[in-house]
Amino acid sequence: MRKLIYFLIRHSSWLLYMIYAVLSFVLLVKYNPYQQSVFFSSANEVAGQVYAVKGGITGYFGLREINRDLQKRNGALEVEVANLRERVRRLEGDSLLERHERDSIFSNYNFIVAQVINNSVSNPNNYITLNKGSRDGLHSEMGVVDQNGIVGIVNAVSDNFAVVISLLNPKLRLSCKVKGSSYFGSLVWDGKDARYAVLEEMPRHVKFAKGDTIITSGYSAVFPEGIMVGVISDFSKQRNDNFYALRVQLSTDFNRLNDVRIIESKGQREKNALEREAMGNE
Amino acid sequence: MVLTYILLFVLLVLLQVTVLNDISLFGYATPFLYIYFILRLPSLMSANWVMSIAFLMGLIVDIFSNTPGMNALAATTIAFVRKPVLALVLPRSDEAVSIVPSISSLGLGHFIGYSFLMVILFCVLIFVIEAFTFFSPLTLILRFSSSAVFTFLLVLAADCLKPGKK
Repeated sequence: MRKLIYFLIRHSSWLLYMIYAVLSFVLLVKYNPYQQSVFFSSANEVAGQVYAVKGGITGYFGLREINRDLQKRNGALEVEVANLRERVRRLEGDSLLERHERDSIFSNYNFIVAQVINNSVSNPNNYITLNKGSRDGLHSEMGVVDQNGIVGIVNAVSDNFAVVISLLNPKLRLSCKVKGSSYFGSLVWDGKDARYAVLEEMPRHVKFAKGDTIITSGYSAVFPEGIMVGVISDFSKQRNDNFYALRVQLSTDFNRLNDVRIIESKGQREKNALEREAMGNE
Repeated sequence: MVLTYILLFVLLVLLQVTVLNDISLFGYATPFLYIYFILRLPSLMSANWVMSIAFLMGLIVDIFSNTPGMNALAATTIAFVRKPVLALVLPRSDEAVSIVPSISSLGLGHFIGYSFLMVILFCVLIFVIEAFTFFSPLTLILRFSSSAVFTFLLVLAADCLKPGKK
């Protein structure tokens, strides 16, 4: 026994190293930033406060470009509103049913505005920290967009902060389709360039061309259908010839994210609960 | 003495998580200057203390950058091998005296050897750990070598800047 203790003391640094290494490995392997492990993510209060200060400073960078983007987007939306107004005027009095339907679509989604206080684009797994948390109504699995397109999905929330899995993170797969068609594939980042992602498993018979717009499919209830994702910049056949992989130039500029909107979908919780229940029954 | 170390600790961690983590020069090079703190600890400090401090520091950086375990593992490992590396670089006669490793105490050549070995080892570990989530050999090698050089240069620069040096 004495020998054992002596041995342990003599080799205490090996022992301690083993303990730390195992601890690190556990964190490395187990890490999944959901509620229970918010402490180990940048949504924890201390990290959040530091990043809030940082965001307060860096938030002023690139405002000119962001302003220009917003103006553009505003212009596009104004045109769209004008067109829609025109159409609504023409359809007015058509049927009660349609109006009811339209109202319910609009009331299904809500937006919460938040500021990006930390963001990375160069890591293999990128995360974004926001300055809003569960106190502002955020919870995990909410979609995040900015004025140009998709940003990511909320992953973990603390009281005042939230961590978003960026679209530039291979852990996130997004169901997308080519605008105007109904076939969908899943969009995933390949870890190379912050401007591009790959839309996989697109059936071969779908018609598309370079420059076509890619939008969300709306199948996941995280994002409503039709949110801009990017444009096709290139495509190639996948291993088995039945599918195409499309290289998509993302419309969101991740290098200068600033203000984002979090989509609150009212039916989402109900849908998730239902799906989970259905899976549990199998 | 202890106070300066605490200040340096806080300063380096803040600098790392707010500024340096965001840098990716040429799209690849990210400097990990915070390990300068581990290099600076007194040479005769017990390995257990150095490892504990390194683990804590790595974990804090990890929490900020959403990579739990990665920096902690790499920092603990370089702390673990710090003594042998120092012994390798240092002339035999100096081993019994506790010194704060720096250019002025080790001499430029010895300090370069010491910090270079430590930085290389750290960067190898970081990028090997990264390779488990995302593997692309070319990107990995570019990221590793450019980050190592960048970190090394910053460590040298920081050592020249260090106030209170004779």
